[in-house]
Amino acid sequence: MRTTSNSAQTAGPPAGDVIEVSIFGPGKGESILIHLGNGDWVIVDSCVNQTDNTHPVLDYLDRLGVDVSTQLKLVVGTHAHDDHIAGLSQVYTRASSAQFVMSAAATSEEFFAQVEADESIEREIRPKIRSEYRAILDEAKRRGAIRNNPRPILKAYEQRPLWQRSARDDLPGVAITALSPSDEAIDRAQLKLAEGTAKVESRRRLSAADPNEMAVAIWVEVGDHAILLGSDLLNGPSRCGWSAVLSSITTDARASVFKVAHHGSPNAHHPSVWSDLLDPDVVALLAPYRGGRTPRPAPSDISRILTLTDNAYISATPTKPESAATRRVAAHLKGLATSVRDPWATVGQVRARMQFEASVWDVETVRPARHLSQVSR
Amino acid sequence: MTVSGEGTVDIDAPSSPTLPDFASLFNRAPLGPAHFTAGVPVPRATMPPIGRNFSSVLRSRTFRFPSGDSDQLMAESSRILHDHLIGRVHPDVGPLSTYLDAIRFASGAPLRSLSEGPSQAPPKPADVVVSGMEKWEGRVVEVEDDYFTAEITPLSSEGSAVYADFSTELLYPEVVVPGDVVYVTVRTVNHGRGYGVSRTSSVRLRRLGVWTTEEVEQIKARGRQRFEDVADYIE
Repeated sequence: MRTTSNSAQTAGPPAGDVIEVSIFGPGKGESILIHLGNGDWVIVDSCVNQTDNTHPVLDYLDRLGVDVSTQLKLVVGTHAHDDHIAGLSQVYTRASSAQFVMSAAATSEEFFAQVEADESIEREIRPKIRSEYRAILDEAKRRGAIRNNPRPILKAYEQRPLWQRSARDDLPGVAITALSPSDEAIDRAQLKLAEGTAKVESRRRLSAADPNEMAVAIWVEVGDHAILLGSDLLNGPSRCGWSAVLSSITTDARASVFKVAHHGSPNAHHPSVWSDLLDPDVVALLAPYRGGRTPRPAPSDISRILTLTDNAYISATPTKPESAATRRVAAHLKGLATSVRDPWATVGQVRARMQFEASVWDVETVRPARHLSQVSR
Repeated sequence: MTVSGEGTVDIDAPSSPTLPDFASLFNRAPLGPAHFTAGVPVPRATMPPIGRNFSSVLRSRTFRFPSGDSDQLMAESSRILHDHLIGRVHPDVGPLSTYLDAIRFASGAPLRSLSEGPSQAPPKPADVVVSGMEKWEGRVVEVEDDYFTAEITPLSSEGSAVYADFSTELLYPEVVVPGDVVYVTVRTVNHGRGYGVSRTSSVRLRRLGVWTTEEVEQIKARGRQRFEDVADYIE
């Protein structure tokens, strides 16, 4: 493992025989970018820079000179939480030849009804969390209406192949497979979506966040190398989450890169994932979540992950000193609110690159990204 | 619980007819817990200065309480005080200075005729100026037993959203759930030379009403339509 710092922003694009996995995260939000070799790219989830509303992943691809409209093959929205979908419609719109992947639980009347219910309220208030999906569906409809276009939306479910590239002499094959949600998880999620949507005589409110069991975990194989993207997939409940993945996965390969699930939370930590699906020297990538009362990863999460791998990196720190503006708000709300915090900040990047024939990842970090051991606990 | 009789009630006396705990009842008012100084007439458009804790003022008094169902009385008086604080004036009553006044009004008892001590001299209304008002709006993203977390966005100034934790008691008796929309208000009042500046804050649910049968049917129909619109484009 070779680690360097602060060069990823200025380096050129990866060569055609280089795999890249980058994670971007500003403190609340994450986006993963994968180069599959041969100039083929995939984006999983999306985040924006809250300070200037720019899109760090699109900006990075532009700096590398990647033609987003042709080279992006898939745009994946693993689930509909706002720390995973901010700016996703912008990505999908620019990636005009990519298919959009969404959880099978979200391609349902129940989910669309929830989007409609929320939008009827969002017209009256400032926070907007559903506009991304409306924009994505509108764009999908526009593309779908064009003759000979492939179907613009791919439904993700357990063991569903999402994208493949055949091997050539000079180019390894690629297989991208959804590992979740399971049938049980889809049923449960749709039930929860229906229960959580508007009911006659109940108070009008936005919907509660959709359940994490509908999240899409993804397995990527490029030649002999495998990458596991954990989304926010939790351990259960029964026949859902990681326990369902572990009972259904068929590959013998071990992933050498793992996007740690749910920001390192204990409810997404399944020991068998580490023992059965990952290399002992796996490169673990995390994005923090500062929105909750307990920022993730918490110190105990960090300790746990560092006992499992020496190669753990995080896109930003789980906590940070608050800005003067946030401290001012906290002073105003003193006595009424506690823990006033701005979960967003500078977007960090962790980038791992490796040639097809190599066996060691070169990892680079762009501040505030760092090795997980450098996070103060 | 029914409050009995017209007799004098000592709130602290355990043997007397029991009144609800006023401090906790006040927390049930729609504006949440703020502290009021009893007996200080306040201009209609401003909040009273933060002074002695309302419950401690009450506990220092002995006063008459009319008959009636106390829960109903409290609900009604809370509503009346809330109306006054948001500027909706009942024609039958002038500016209400205290929650106690609201209780009296709700119960039909005459205002300012009970056995209270003399009121403090009020500040000149012209001296009292609301010098700052900040508002946030946001959604509840997480609820635990004793607190909830909301992502709030400033309405009255430029600035970015923040996350903050609030006690669930602040919205009692409403049961807050993720997805609820809340308003947070902070008002700064300058009480004039020598009286200083005070700040009052509140958090409350935004009243968005309830879903009607028609709305729910429309939402389901639109969801179905949207699904049908894209169903052919999903692989």
